[in-house]
Amino acid sequence: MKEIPEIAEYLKALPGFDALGETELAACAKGIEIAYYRSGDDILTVGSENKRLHIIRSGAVELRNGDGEMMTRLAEGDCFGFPSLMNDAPARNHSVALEDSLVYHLDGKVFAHARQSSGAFDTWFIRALSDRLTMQPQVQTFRGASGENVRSLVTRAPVSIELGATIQEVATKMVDERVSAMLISDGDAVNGIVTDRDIRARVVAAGLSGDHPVTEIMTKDPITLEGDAHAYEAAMVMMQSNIHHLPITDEGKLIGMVSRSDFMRLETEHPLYLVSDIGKQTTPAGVVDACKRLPGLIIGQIESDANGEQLGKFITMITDTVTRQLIRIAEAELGPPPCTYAWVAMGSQGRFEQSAKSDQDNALVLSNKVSEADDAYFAAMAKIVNDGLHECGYVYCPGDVMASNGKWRQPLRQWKQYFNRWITVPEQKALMHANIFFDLRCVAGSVKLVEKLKKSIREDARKNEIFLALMAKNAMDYQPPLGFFRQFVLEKSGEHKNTLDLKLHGIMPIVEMARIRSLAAGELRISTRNRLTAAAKAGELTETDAANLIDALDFIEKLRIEHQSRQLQAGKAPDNHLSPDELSPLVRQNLKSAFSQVRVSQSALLNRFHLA
Amino acid sequence: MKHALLRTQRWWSRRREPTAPYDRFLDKQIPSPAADLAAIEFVNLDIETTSLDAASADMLSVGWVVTRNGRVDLSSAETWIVRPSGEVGDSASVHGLTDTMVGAGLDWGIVIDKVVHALAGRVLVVHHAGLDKALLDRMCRQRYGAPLLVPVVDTLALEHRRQSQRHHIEEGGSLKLSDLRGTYGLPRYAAHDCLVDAIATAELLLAMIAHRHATRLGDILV
Repeated sequence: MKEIPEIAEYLKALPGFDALGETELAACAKGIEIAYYRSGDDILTVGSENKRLHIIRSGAVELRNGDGEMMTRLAEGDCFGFPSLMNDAPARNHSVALEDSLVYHLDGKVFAHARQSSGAFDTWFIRALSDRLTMQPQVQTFRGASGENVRSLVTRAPVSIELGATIQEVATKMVDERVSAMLISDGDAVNGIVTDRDIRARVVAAGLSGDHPVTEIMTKDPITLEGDAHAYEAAMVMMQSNIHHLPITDEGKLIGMVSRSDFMRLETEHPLYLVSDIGKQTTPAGVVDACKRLPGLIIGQIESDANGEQLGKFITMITDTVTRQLIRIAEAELGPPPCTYAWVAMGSQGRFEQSAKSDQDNALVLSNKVSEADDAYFAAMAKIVNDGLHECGYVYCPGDVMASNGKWRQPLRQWKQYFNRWITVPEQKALMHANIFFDLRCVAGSVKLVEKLKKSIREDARKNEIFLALMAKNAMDYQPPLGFFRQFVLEKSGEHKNTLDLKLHGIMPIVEMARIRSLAAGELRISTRNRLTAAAKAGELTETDAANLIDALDFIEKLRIEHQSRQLQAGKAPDNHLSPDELSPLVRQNLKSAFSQVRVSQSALLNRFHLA
Repeated sequence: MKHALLRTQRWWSRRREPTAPYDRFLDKQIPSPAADLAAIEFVNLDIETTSLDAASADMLSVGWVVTRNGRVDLSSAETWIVRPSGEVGDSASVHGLTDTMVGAGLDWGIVIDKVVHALAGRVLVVHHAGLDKALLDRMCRQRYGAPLLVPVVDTLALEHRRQSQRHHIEEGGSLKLSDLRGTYGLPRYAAHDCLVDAIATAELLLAMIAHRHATRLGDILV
């Protein structure tokens, strides 16, 4: 008896291998040698002989080309080495373990046999081979707030004229083509450029005749830019060189031209434009109106490859702006506040982690000097802000955690008491509150008030292991939706049948673990990623565990963003319910790994508080 | 010293009644503690037993896999079920082996012949070696009239030694195979059977060797 079902089962879940029959899978399982690599170890070097297919069982591997440029990063379930194996050639890339990795090395003969026995398996690898062979080194390009590349600004084919043309011919063609600049070319090569300004300054003002050759007045060898460059790079080049027109090339071949006016179009879609627009509003209705452009901007951010962290910060920045403007409007209407106060955002806004679908969680921390009569002022302010936010799409908090609720509009000493009680008498309800309120951040008003509150919380929480242990236990309410055999566990009924709730079962568990770990480390950092990094630094969890959780969060957020973008583009309200059918097998596999990581970290958290 | 003793015992055992598998096992030289780890072949092994009491436990099944050239070679994986004298009883629920399945197994003598054959010239690796080692030893004495004479690496003892050398026990503190694997960033295996545990142990040993920068057999013998 030499079958190894556990290994065959694992292979079967991999993309490509899912096409193999049981006999072939069993043969593959037996054809594997397992090796362990420390982070930084070489697996294959360029030009080395390769007789095996390499499958990453755990960890991460980076492929670099002969020049040491990064080609791609591979994760659990990914294969490499098949190009050299399939072409019977030496390894083309250098593979290095990025993390401690367990790698399955599958015998090349067994692999060849599997390709012969299954057409689908063979096709999968042939396709993967062509992807790998056409892969380009990944250069880190700057992707800014609105990350369009300059190619997208080119609206028409280039207008050019031969090198031998006269000034007169050039000017006539410019009029006919209605362009303000023209390229002078010799075949595909750009030799020079002539603009309206040149004709004014170098021809008319200089009294030059129209039959002179254009070469006398053109700007020779103009600055050009590759189409892949960021739109802002183009703007920078034009500003620095004080030019108004920039020829754009694609691998050296001319594809068109952009002018400064092309950037006007871009600017109206820029998020900063929305921020300044919101800042000009004097009524809540005006703010609501300006916010209607937000979904379009979110789609723009996603298309420019914003990751979860960037997008969360972006949406939160807009929410903060909206909140501040509504407060300003309230103060203008109600008069100056009777005492100092702090408007506090909580939950995802507090953490800078809002998504396209977020409700509002907020509160007011008032100075201890506040009198009972003053409350009417703050109640009125809260109503204006809460209603305004609701109208803008940040719906009312279902748990009524909002400043309009008298309970959450209290002087500092009362807030200190709230937290002290939640921490020392952690009942179920208190834990729920603690989860929201620990993510507090001052959005408007007195930062000092909030700092004082945070200091007292930090001291109360760190001392209280029981409270932290209960938070940890509570955090287990949200388990990653993975079954025993790593299959997805989908919603069984209701509106979202056969979907995964990415927020509830993927993001929330990570957010909660990060909060607990950071509190245990005596830190009250705000964002989940900072919390994990700080907790790892304090030794509260391992660096690897922290990094893995951040990776998992990045990945799950990315899927959520893409899902919500598809919904926004279809004009639907964004939600967190993803159907695994939307995903490719490889992405499904990665999502499973991310969920497994959450599960592993959850059991480590239980161990930490002796709850296992 | 331990190595010298083992060699003397092996030499002494050879003068006994000859039994083919055991003699072939003794014929092959055992690697010395100074041997280069990369050149050593390991037999990573796990046994399912009828009880946890070393004196009375019987072998239900055994699984092993060989590590050579620093890689776990799955083509070497073997797993055997032993036909017992009595009934499986309570432990069946733990191992998922029923009387019928076990009934299809081999006589214990044949199984220990196979184990001893695999161990020739190699080093035995077991996670929490005590019980498994005692059981194999008893089976050898019963069948060949001589003890199990093989160098043993115990991954659990190895980790325990590391932690006590650092004068602190790690967070969570568990030295269970699955937990230790987690500590070394190794993936989780769902199934609980002796071959999977043997593979799991083999991977754990590779990770431990890599993390300790161990180069000689002596570095990992406890």
